[in-house]
Amino acid sequence: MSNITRVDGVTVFEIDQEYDSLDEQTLNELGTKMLAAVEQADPPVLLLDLTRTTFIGSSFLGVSIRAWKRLRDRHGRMALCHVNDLCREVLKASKLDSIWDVYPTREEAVQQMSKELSS
Amino acid sequence: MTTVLIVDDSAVDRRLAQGLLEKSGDLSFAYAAHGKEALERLQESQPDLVLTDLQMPEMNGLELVRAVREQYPLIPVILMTAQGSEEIAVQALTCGAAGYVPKARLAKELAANVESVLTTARSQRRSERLLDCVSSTQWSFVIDNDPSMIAAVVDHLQQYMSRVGPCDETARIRVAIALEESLVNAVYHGNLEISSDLRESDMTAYYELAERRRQEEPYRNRVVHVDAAISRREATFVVRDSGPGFDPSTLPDPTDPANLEKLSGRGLLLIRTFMDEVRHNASGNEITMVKRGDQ
Repeated sequence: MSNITRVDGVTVFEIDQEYDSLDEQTLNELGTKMLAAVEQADPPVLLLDLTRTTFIGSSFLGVSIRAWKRLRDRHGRMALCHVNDLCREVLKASKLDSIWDVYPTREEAVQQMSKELSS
Repeated sequence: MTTVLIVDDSAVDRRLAQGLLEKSGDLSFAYAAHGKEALERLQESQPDLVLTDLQMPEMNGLELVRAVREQYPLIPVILMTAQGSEEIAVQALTCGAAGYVPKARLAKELAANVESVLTTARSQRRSERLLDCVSSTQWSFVIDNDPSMIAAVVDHLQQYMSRVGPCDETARIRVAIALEESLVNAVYHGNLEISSDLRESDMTAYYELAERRRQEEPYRNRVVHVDAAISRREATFVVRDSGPGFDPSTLPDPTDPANLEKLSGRGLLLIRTFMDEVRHNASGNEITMVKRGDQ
């Protein structure tokens, strides 16, 4: 079960270890949950916490892109935190690190994202 | 010489177990009064078998079974159980104990039970040693379009990559990602001919169509061939689907800023990122991926 919390206006979606998978159907389930979190995010600011994620593939990128597009339609934004080297490499290879900010910790991400919300 | 570590808080029972085993073969013995002490003995030197009582202070037999299973998976543990503890004995077997002998039947059954478990353990150790000597291996699979088979193939090949393969653990995960991406492409795009565009517009419809086509002609009879050759020098994986193939050069470049938000082409991009060499056959329904040893 992925954990969803709200901190200083930022919806934090912590991805559970059960989604540490490349299986398309498992990630489809993650996508449904992620999109539900996006719909409920008000303001539309989402932080994906990858603390318990050790690797990601194109299916994960696919569901994240879908979530990001929905946020963008609502003039929102998305960022990631606690991204390990391998996941960072995948983001870099697909150049998605150029559109999503990546923060070392949840605290730093929330601080920055909530600051931008209030400015 | 074969060594048995006897773990029991009763010195009399330890002596009894030793006496019963001495008659049956050329064994040497070590002793511990409870689970914690047994783990200390195991750190000093490893026996061929652990024979333990169930009820003990400090750490009981069940906890000891779990600890040995985790830290010394090749050392078998046999439990000696008192009357009425059959349920715990079953629990111990589930946790990985090699067997149990009721204390009331020690005289009759202990020696035979220990001998049988030792024989199995010796054979298992020989197999493990032999697997350590494997210098290369080849596998060929023909799988249908059931997505669960994708993970099964990747897990299986990962096991051999870790024993024989040319790279460290981090690189092995990269290979697993590339391999899985290639198999997903082969099943969904190759055999079932489902476009990434549909996934982009309607993910549910994408999976429903996949499910339907798994049952329909001509898709349902299509298979994926996977050939793997793994050695310490390099690992080569060939994945071939039974679909019409495609021209990889027509895929949009997912790193082009104009395509960043598109879903298609990312799997192949990751394959190219994580493998040292990637090539397609002329009709585009076969991909060959090579991972070489760390330089």
